[in-house]
Amino acid sequence: MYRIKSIFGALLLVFASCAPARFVEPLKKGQQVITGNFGGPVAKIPGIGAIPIPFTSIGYGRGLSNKTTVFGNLHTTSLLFGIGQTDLGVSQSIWKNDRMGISTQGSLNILIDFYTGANRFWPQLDANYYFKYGKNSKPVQLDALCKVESKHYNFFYAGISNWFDPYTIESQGRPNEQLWIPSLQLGHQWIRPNWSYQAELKLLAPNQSNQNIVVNYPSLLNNYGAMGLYFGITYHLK
Amino acid sequence: MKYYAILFVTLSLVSCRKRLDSFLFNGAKLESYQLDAYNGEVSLELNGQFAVPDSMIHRVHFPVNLDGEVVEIQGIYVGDTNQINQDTVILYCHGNKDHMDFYWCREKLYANIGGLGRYGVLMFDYPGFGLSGGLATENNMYASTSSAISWLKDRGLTNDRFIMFGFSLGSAPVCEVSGHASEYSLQPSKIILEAPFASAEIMIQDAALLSMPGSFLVDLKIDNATEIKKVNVPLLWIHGMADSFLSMKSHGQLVYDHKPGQKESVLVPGGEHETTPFVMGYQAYIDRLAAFIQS
Repeated sequence: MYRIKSIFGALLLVFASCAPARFVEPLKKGQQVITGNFGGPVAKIPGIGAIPIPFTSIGYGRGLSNKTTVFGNLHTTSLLFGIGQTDLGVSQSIWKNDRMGISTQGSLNILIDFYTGANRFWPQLDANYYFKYGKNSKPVQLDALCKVESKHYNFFYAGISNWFDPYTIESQGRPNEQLWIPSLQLGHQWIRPNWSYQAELKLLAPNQSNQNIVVNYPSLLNNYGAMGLYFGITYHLK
Repeated sequence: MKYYAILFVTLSLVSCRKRLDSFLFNGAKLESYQLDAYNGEVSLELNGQFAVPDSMIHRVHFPVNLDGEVVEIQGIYVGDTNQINQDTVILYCHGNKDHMDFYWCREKLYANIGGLGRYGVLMFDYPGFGLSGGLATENNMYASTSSAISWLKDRGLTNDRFIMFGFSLGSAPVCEVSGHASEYSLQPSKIILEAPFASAEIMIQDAALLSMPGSFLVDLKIDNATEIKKVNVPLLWIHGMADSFLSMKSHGQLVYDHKPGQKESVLVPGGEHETTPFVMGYQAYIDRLAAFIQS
């Protein structure tokens, strides 16, 4: 019976935990990028061990201003299940200085079953703090009016991701007891002129027991939550 | 051109829609049934208790038509096949794992309800399990159950002496048969469900944390929590309170609550999905089953 726990269960989480934080540092005005992400909840696969399930998505982002970036992503793994899944949103800088900043990301996850028409809309609100480090992390002040930011730097980030489930009644009329599904993330980005890279560790749903459900999730908190591991790559169009 | 390429890739992905149904049917193929000589993982360790003499063990098989293809379903009957027209018989629908060798220990246990040989017990492998032919699907599971029932009826079993027992996945054919009496050749007079699951959708919603439609991942229509509303024969529900696979609250309790009419429950503190009979104590477990059947 338990063989299904890892594979089946890990796939179940695809829709709730399928991508890393989006645009932790918003793009500059006019900047455009395409992104690819893979990774997911860590599952114990019999005979293999604990590995992240490689769920994938591709996306596009554009800086509307130096503080605001809009983005959209298509979840390619979901397509394999006949599910159209996108997340559309905006990343907004709340505060920043030369070395660090705080941003928030609001998005709407839209899922539509191409075969049955069943659909779901799950809003998501994230907040992240990032900290740049290294010799290129601060802009170079050319003169009193002009400073140039490097296109080659690194930063750490930490934040919280919040999924909201607005469907209060589940199958068989059961009350939905999980209307808020938070995750905590810790990540790193390597920003480069053409290609940038991202790695992120998530603690998924730390407020939810992982006991007495179909799936066994390895977690730092033992009986609560699950771990997720994600990777991203970004190509700078301009 | 690149837009056509994107469209092609997208349509290709969508057109080969993957389903997770198969993950719920963990049947394993065998070259032969070993029963007591089987040295793989088993559902329960009986440690030499509840032995059944070879004279009472009968390998049986019956044909089933699966979408135009006739395949053989393999079964094991414990009892006297010549007495089926007089005995009370338990049809045991096993869980989703492996094959009858895995569940043989349970059949031996049930053959000892009320004393060895008091009741006949028939267990069979669903299509795709053990030596049974065909593919493991929900409809094929029901078809093979129907075939097993017909085999019993052909040997003289009647409704009043017919008991169905479903464990875990096996709760689905029991609810299907007892909820659609006119579609099967026999109707059980009582049913027993151990660690039943409520529905495929609830299983998904429990694991996904989100209120996700079942159709996002599976085509399974299993919905015991709805089917049980149509069942009017007595039910005995057994569930381990520590079941970490199909939780008592999300699954068994829902099925039990929806069952109209006569019903009884046995909730076992500390019982896990597979271990409830052991935790309860094997003798206490089968004594409770006997009390229900004989009541």
